[in-house]
Amino acid sequence: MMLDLFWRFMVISVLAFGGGQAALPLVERMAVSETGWLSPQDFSAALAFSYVTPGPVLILATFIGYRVAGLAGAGVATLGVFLIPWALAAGAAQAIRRFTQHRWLQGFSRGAGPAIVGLLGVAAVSIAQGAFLGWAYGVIAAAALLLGLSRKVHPFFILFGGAVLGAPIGAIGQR
Amino acid sequence: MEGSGETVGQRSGVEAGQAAAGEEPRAVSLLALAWVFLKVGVTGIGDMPPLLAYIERELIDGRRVVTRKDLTDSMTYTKVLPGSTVIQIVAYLAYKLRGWPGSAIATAAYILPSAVAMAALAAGYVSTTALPAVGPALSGLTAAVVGILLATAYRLGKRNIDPKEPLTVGIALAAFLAGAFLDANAALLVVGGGFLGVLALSDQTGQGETVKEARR
Repeated sequence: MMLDLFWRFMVISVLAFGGGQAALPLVERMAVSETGWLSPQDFSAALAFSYVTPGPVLILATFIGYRVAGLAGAGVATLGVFLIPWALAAGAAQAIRRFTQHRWLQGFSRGAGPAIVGLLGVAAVSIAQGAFLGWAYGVIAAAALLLGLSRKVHPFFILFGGAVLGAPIGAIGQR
Repeated sequence: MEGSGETVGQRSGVEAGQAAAGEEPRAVSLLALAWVFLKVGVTGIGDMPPLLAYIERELIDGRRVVTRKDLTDSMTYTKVLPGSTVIQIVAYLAYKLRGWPGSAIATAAYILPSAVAMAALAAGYVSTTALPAVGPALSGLTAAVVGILLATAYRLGKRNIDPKEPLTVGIALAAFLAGAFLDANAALLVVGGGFLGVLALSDQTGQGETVKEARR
């Protein structure tokens, strides 16, 4: 299990062309749809937490690692998701600087980028299927989309707002 | 060398900024480096903007061990690399200051506070899910996540998809369809897109993006 955690997060990290945000659909696909480690709701909560805490969004890995295999799992997942990007960047400060300008790497990055955008769509659709129990949730998602596009509101507040609105909607729906 | 931590930042930062390649450590001890990035690791909520502001204040204007060019370079050279960008800016700058050990220590110090917080949240989360009131709130949260992911898709899409380059549109669409309807493996889709990119989107002139394109 430890090896699995480490390996999967490492693969995600080397495919995250476009930074931490680009890794989100890969993490969602891996942890929710491929392994079933988290439910879509757990993933959403974890994502919200990763926005509240300082530092990189991919600290999400720590949460998932902990849920899967406790404290050791948290350590392993965190190491897995940051190790190679760290080594590459430190290397870029010196030895492999020329490599980062290589046209093949740039070509790979240009092709991987759009694929990640497509996968973000998949992740959104997949999460929506489990969560949209009524039209009111669609309204929350639309509002979150608009606020997210404006960039004026920190993602944490958008997610927090969704949670606050979700509680009464759920209560009414159950009656 | 390690013991000279007390004199950190006393040396001329201008000289330090110009000492290019060499392994020669600049005027920052490993301990000081760890402390600086631990602080931003605690306070830097919201990823990139606070990190950049902090580096400017603490390392460029304060200790004067990093130049603005270093910071720009760190973003330029790590932009094409996969993985968390903030981690890579820290890794790059700390490497320039103190080589591999410095980079490892600074990056670990930067990650540590949020990792501890996330582990604590994960430990607490197990029990909260049992509360009945949490369920509907989680559904609302999940709906908001959908919106955020779509907003991220739009932003990354604007950066990565060029209508004048039909292949980028095709790759995005194909990845979406294959992922949504065929349940294709996400990692393979990204690798596939990447190889198509190598074949068809590589810069034929070999010039690539240059430093001037970096933000800030």
